[in-house]
Amino acid sequence: MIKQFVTELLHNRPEQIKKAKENGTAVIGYFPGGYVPEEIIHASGAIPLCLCDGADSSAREALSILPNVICPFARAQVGEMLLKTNPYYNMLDLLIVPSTCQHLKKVGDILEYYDNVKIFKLGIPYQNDNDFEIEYFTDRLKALKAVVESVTGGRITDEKINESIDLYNRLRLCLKGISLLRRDRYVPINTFDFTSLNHASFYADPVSITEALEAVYKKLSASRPVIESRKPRLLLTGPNLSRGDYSLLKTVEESGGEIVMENTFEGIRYYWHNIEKTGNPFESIARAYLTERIPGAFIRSSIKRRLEFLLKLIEDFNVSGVIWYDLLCCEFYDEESYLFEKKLHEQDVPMLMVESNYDTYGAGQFKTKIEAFIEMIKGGPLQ
Amino acid sequence: MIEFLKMCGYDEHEVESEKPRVRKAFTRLGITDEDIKHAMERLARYYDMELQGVRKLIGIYLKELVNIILMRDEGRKKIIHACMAPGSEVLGSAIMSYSSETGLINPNFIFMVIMGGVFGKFVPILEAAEKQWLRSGVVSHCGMVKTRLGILSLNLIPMPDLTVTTGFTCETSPKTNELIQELYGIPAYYIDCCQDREFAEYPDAARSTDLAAKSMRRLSKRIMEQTGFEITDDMLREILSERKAFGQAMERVIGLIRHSDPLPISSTHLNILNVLGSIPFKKKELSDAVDALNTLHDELLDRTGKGVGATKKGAPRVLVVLPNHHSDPRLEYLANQTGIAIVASDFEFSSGQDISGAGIKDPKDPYDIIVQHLHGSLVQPLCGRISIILNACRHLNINGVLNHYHVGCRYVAGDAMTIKNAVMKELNIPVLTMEWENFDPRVYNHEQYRSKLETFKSMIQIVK
Repeated sequence: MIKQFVTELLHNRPEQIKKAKENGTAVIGYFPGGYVPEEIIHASGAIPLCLCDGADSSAREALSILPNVICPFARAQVGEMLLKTNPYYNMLDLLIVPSTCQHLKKVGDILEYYDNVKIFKLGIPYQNDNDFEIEYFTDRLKALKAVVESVTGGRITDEKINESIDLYNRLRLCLKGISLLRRDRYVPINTFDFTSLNHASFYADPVSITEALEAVYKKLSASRPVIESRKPRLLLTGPNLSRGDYSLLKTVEESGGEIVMENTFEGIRYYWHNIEKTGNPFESIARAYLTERIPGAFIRSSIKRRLEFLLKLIEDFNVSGVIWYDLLCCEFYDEESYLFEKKLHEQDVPMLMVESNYDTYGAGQFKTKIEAFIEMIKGGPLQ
Repeated sequence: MIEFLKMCGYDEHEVESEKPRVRKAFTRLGITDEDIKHAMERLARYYDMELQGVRKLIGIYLKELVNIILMRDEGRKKIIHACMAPGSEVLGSAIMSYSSETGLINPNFIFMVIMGGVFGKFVPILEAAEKQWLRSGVVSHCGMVKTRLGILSLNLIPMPDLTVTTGFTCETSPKTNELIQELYGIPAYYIDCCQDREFAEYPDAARSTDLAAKSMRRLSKRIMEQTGFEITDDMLREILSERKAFGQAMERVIGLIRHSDPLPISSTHLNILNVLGSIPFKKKELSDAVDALNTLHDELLDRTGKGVGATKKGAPRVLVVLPNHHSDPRLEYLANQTGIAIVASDFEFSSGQDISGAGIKDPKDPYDIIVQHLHGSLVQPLCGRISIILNACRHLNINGVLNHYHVGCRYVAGDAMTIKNAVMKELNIPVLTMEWENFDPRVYNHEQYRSKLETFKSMIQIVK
């Protein structure tokens, strides 16, 4: 059902965007990770597109200008621009690149140099506990507003931003609601379908997708239980799950596991926390994006809070094992895996680390590792 | 030991007074008499030890190494560990000069020069880190960060009370300190900055420097909370003034090397010159460093007058992208042997603070002055960095660029191919691009490097 739903939702989307663009609507892209406020883009009347595609072909294409120590997701973003075959990447009037990890920042640098598209680098302070850091981010959001206004030719009012906040709060709430349904033993939606919905929400018209997700949520809630899962319940965590990078999800499914929660930094929408509107919308957005949300791994001193969040998810979703899905050469997730594995071990939660370069060279080993992990969990004390 | 200390520029009095301290430090480092003999051979081979200025510079590093290792034994109760935290050396100089109980160390480059360059005993430090979370392999963790974890886990330095780093261009460094906090219980402070500069703003970096200056000031507050020692603005102004003289002495030496033909000193020395400023010198030590640089300058001037050099007159002049190797002089030595004169690194250049609106906003604020390093080539966004490299090549009449990119650093590795394209397009000079590790001697592959450098030299000569 979901597969068909997503296909229909996105089937005509490139054509819709093309027509809107012909009629003067600007198209503004941005990279995922939960730091670019789509509310500001939407409030301008532009079409926001969160670019999160990732595939071997595009990652390889970028090797002509980026070395392979840049992670495959970042390379894929450059590769899509070089290949010029992906409609979403070809229609941009502006691309917002958040200064999150070094890999993504380098994408902004490279695209700026080669002048593929107009770039705005959205500065994210690496810390979020000092007033001057919140002020910095708030200022950059205001600079973003000015750039978006110059691209769209329109004016972004506080009222429009607040309306957009309401819309995206609804959207996030839907995804959270659907996701939370997976806490039960009866899992009404599998990880592949949930991830597909999540990814679709980046490209689809935000009003349409919100309404559609509300319908999906109602349907899934009403029809429970659908699938009584006896498979080991797994949590997927790591830097990235991009649109098109579904081999892990398939492998886990084929190996008899059930991923019941995806906790990745880039590639899926960060839907857990909504924006509370309090006065100035820029301050509300800055606070929500920078300090209230669970921080990205690139934020300094973020481990404690992220570990607590992960442990809470493990408990709430009754998880038996964690798959740490690292992208090749993602140096800080690689470092963290050492600590997280220790901490999870202390809680008797096994963790498996697998790495991906989006290619198929290590597919056999990849599958063997996951199969062995699931077998181990099935026979383990937590089952 | 005595001969070794003399070779390192220690005078008779220093040899007597320092020998027990050096012996104690070497015991902790596991350095034997055999190692000292080996070190003397390496010094004679890779460095111009006939120059008194070089001896004094090596001596400064050795003295700092001993100071670091014995710092707690000798009375400093609270120790701050800084690494990849440019600007902290100024705060460190203030602490070291005005406090007897608190100290600041910036040990990595010291260990690289002495344990790596001089003793050739650096690999065990890296391996110690690899046994923990900075594993070896495709992920290519940075050797600089491995060094930090290695010397800490091997107990080669006193256990610090606070670690300080940045991460302007790096995730590994702050993440490592965070893991050190979690696993060793040492609190961490991160100097904040935001690399969101666009080329349209170049060379203005005020947004970045403002944020970094606020975060540096917050660091001073944190140091006071952690150690009880207050760093005042007046202290920093005084240190900055002293450091200005140091900077000028360094400029004279570097300028002479850049503009002389033949190259008056082996390129292996560029590393020990470039990282000297990272030492948190006490005021008196700053004077010693200025003396060493002035001595070297005079000696090089003498060599230039006599036409003596590390390469023949007219040798191809090469700019390296990123600094020379920090723990292993072999590549630069080989380059000179091949007949290539490495005259400078892009690391030494920055965007024009002297250009209107690009530099210091408030000369009364010492923190604003300290964070001007953010104009440096290494921390520029790609377009700014390319602009600096092209200007440096033009300014120094460079014949070729050795574009060795540090694989452990995503920020600079990501620039490498575009730098190559830009230099070749704009200047039409050969560029040798090669992946390497700036801090890990294990990357050295003699035959491969020799072959590459010879080809590079041939290409330069064809274009020339």
